[in-house]
Amino acid sequence: MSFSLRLILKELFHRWVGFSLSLLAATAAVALCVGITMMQSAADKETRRNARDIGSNVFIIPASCDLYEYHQQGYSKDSMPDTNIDRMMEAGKIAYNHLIPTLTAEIKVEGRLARMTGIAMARHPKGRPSKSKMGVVVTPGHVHLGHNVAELLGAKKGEDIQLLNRLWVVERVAPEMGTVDDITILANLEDAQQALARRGEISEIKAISCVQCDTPEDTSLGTLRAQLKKILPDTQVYLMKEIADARVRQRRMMELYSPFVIIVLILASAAWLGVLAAINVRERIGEIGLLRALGYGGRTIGFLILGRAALVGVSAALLGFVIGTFITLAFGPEIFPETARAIRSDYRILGVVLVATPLVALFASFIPATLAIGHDPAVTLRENQ
Amino acid sequence: MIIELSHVTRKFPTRNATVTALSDVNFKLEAGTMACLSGPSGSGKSTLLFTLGGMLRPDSGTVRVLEQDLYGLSKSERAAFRATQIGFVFQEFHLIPYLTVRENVLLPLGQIKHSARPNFEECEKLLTRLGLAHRMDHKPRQLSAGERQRTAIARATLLKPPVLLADEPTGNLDENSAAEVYQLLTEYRDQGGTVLVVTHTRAAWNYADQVFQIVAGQLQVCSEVPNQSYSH
Repeated sequence: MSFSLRLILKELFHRWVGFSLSLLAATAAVALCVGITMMQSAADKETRRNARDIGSNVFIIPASCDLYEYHQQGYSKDSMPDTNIDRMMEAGKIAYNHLIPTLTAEIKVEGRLARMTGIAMARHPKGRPSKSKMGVVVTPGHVHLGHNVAELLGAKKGEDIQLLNRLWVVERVAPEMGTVDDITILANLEDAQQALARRGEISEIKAISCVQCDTPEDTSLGTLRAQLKKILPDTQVYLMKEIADARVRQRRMMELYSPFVIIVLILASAAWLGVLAAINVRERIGEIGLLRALGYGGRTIGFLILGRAALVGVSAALLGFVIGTFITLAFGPEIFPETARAIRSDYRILGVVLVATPLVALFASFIPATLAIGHDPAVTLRENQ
Repeated sequence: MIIELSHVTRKFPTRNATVTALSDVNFKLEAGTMACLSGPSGSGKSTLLFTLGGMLRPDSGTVRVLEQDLYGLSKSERAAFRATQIGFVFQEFHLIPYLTVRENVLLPLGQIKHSARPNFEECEKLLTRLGLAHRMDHKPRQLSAGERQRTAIARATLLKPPVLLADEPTGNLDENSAAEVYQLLTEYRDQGGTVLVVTHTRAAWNYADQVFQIVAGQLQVCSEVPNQSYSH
């Protein structure tokens, strides 16, 4: 072991309080950064899921549909071919995702006007990764009843009901929502098309505009319309701006949050390490003066100060990685229950912290080291007399 | 001449005025002599010592040690020269608290080439000669003041530098320990070393071949004390 390294180690053990404080600060920062980075993937997935659950923010309706009527009724009475969804899926990279075709019509239930909506599982344009199920999936031959409709029919989950001249099994009775959903009967799209005698028809395609497509402009209505005009010229598209903005806000917030926290952690720990290094240099000023008097050059003095910082950095990186990984694996799944599987230990993070932490510690100790090297030994030794 | 100062001036600017610590000082010291540099506090004694030790560049004049113009050397050359040619002893001992006595004494070895290093046996012999054989593995805080200063002297003389500079080496010691220290310094002189002691205690004069006084930055030869007249 080199003489300078032995000096560094002996000094670390001698001034163990200062060393422990530096190690503690750096380890805590590394552990937090490791935890945040490990949970980032789960957080991203959870955020995407939450953003998606906000609901569709785009609706595509037939060109013939009158927008006034649409908003007054809450659905399109006009229809379009259900092959439109296939055309959109074949279109390749477009700013739409989670395409949900629906067919909605008014029906009479026990003499009252209710609404039947046939719905299919969300589909994804070609080239996009198949994502998790979104929205409602109704098993063929089954229905989901809105709260008021179920009351009207006196139907419960698992019971059979007669509607539109056929028998349906109640798969779910929704709780009271206070919206039009309370008077809606949800069925599988094909069943609804058959029951309503509108085979091959859909009244609307709901979708989510993709905020990550290419540029932020891709989410604008102009882009959506331009893309749709090429694929489905006989349709019109509208963006539900409030929902779209909420999705963007949610995702942007998460995208910015982690880097912000990590930067603040790095700066705070660097400042703390810098202060502790300055205190250490101040305590050792007599020792540094003596070493200069004995002929030790600035390079050796710098090595003693910066070597100490590098040792703190390497130790903190190893400790912080182990602690951060352990805590994240133990508590991460509680924070992100839905996407817990995405939380995994990642040895690439160890590589990064093993390089970055000593660098931050060296950077933080640079000014104290410069002061130590530049300190006049004659002044130091005179002042310490 | 082993030490030669010619027209050395050193001033320290302060907020209100400039203090002249050394004013046109001329000073020579032959090999194998021990000199005392005396004077009141703030008279420039330590400034002269540090200037001689290559740690304080004078504003003007030349400092030659072993025929070498000290401030004609680069910083690193001067540090290397100091490591092997000049030993320092300080009033506050300046021992490194986390090193043992043996490690403190071996500290100068970190800066010299391996072939020129004395071996550890020589270090232990030196410590034994200085009465520190039983203290080799002790930390400075476990030593008395006299033992600390003897350790500092061992560190300063391990490499047998031709020049030994001591700044108030007995300032923190009782009478007996101070006498021991002067005994060691004169022994070093007797082995051929050149010793310059900065002190304001007149008792030190008894051990010196030459005594200089410095007053307001001006150096004066105070007296010459022949070796034979030592009473120790």
